[in-house]
Amino acid sequence: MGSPPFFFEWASRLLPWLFPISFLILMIGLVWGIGFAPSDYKQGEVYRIIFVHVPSAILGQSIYLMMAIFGSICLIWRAKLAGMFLRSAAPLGASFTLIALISGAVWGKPTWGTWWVWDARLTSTLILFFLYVGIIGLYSSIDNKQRGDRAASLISVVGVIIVPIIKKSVDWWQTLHQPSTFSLTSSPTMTADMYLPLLICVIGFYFIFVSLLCNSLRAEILTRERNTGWVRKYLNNKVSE
Amino acid sequence: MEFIQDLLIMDGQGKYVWFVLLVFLIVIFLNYYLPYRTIRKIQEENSQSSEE
Repeated sequence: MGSPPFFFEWASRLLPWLFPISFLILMIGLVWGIGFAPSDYKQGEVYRIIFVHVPSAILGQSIYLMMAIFGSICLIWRAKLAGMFLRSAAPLGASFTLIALISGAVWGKPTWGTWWVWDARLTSTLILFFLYVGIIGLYSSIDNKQRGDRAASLISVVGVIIVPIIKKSVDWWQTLHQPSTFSLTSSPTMTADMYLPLLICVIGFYFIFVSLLCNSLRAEILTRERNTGWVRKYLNNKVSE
Repeated sequence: MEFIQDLLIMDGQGKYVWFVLLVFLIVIFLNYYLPYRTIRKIQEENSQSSEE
């Protein structure tokens, strides 16, 4: 699994199935949440932003956690695929964090009366976004791929401290942001007809992330290994098709 | 018809919800399209070099 040719082959077979399944789950969650879930008694209809905001925020943090794990693997074992994972996952993590920030700002305007406050949750999420941008910038500025992988791994491992800070920011500081929507230790605070579509959206977002990651990793593998025999063989087969 | 109108307007808050959904869809599309374009580019370069 750790070898690029094996992963490339595996991802190529999986993707034609993974994308439609991801979109189906996502469509069910979003249509249910935005079209049919009841309105919130306090916030009215604008709360429906939750069906995009919460899954994006969860993914933004989860991807960074995954990057820290793969960063450690890259630093300790120098696994090539781990470095490629970092390179492919960073733009996705930045994208989901950006969606969380934008959707949060758009949600904040009608509910808090402002697009932005320098609140602990918002500020720590902005720092997470900058960490992603920093990793993407590192890859762009370092020509040597292995050195880029090691530098990005180091930032991923050191920067992972931001994830528990984001998670606990609503408990540790007085914030305008509401407490966590999902908790492993307590039952949900919203009714099932709001919670279930949200849960489906979270699952759909994870699926779409895996699909996009496989797609992105294929591009990264082809770019890095384009002079190897197996990539030449693959590309020649594509030409003859 | 009334249902669709209610869904679009959402008591005046539809603009916020639909804008967020639009941003989400654009970002997802870009994350799909950019790697796809890279793969296509590599394949095209290879087919050109093999023709030569």
